Amino acid sequence: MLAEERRRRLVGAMVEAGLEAMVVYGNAWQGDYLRYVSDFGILEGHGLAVVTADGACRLFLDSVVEVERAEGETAGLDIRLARDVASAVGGDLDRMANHRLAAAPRRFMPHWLTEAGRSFALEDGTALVDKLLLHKLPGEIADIRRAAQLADDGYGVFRAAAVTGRRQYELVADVEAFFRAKGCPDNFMIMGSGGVDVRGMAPPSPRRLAPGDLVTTELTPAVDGYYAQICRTLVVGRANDAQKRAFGVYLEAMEVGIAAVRPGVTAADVARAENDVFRRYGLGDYVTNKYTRVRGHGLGMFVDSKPHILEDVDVVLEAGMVIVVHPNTYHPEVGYMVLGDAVVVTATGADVLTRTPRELFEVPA
Amino acid sequence: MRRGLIAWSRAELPEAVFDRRVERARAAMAAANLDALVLYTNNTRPAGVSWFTGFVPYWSEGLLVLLRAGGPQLVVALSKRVQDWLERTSHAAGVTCAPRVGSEAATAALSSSNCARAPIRPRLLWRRRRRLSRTARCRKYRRGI
Repeated sequence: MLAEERRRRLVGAMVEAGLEAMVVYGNAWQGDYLRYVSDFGILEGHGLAVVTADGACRLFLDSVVEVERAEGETAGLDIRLARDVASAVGGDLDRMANHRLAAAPRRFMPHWLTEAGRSFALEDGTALVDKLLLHKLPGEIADIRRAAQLADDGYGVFRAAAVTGRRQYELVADVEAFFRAKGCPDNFMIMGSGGVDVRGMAPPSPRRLAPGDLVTTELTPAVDGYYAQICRTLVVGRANDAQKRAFGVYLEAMEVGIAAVRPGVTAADVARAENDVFRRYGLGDYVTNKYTRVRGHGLGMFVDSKPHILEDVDVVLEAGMVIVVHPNTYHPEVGYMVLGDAVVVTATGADVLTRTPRELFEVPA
Repeated sequence: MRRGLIAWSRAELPEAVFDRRVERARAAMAAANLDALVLYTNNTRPAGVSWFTGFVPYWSEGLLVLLRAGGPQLVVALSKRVQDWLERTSHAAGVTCAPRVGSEAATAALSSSNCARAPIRPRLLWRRRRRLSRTARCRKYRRGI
């Protein structure tokens, strides 16, 4: 089982680092660390897991409902209900006070667990778990591949739903209904519609689609806890020349970015390849953080995993990592435009997981 | 993840409702001799900040800084490209997009006010509390009122 394989890998890394136990936090937003070690996808409240070097995992949850769900959906865990998960874990760690202990992700750790005066000290184990999250096992890549197929299918539903007069949230409802029907429990999705007034994507609004609108979306469905992402733009009606010209820049940037992906290059190299295309067309201002966030990012058990594809991120890409390359940003002539594909880094380059054609789609006005 | 419509209907929830809530909080702050109230939000625990501003993070996290005077200041770890959406769906005097909400809230809002006592809600503010208290010139932080 993949969950057992992940736990064995974690324990191996802990032993190698000389750690006796790892404390891992999760909530419904940042649930990847907790899911990696426990196989539990938390939806309510806070969760903390204590994994010891013998492979045992104690999962502390503060919701009765979540405890019941964890008992049904996971195997091999010692699951405990605790109204104050930090105190409960603290009690657990008191018994290991003279051992080397670590916690991840450090920035989410309850302050109480890390402040001075405890009988135990928690080292920062974030980098250790990050490394495991970055380098995927074959089984993890297989799940992301399935999620990418679902993302492609979901974009087909989105295109069909994009009809003049419909409200943004109605499109999202169609896509979410499709994903639920396919057994996909989670999808991160933002969108935009309009023209030069649209600076980015956000949760859907009541705005109605109108002829000439650029309609952008990124879909990020999950399969067995693993996310894959696709970004595409469509036009309601026929694309005008400015929209076609602008799309050409995004297409070139994404293809150059994907071509740059291979073991040994950095995230910065990929970002620079994408951004250089924009700079060459006189659009350098639009690859700054005033107009865009990242030029891609990691994928896995979190929607927006490390590494962020930015020109100042020096993470070296290695085979087995999965990222989305997306030169999404604002274009001064046409508005916000997106285009992105999920890829897995292979020994020689990049294997593109999403298969939707790289087109500026047109739907009937 | 939060999905689906996130919008603010001013007909259902007029600005005056948020303003009254802020005034009630200010009265409680004055009674407790507090200079500022700092509220944490993320998309799993949005209620505190939503109650004062209507803001519901679809992603990431933020802090709301409420001082004795002036409107509520919202500091959110979202990119600037969604500033327009933030301002459209939230009632705050100021919205700042910054990746490190703790230090931004401290430098932008708390330090300038020379506040002396600022409780933080909810009690579990995780590691952000340290960054906030290191950066701000607040002499004393307390857990929430």
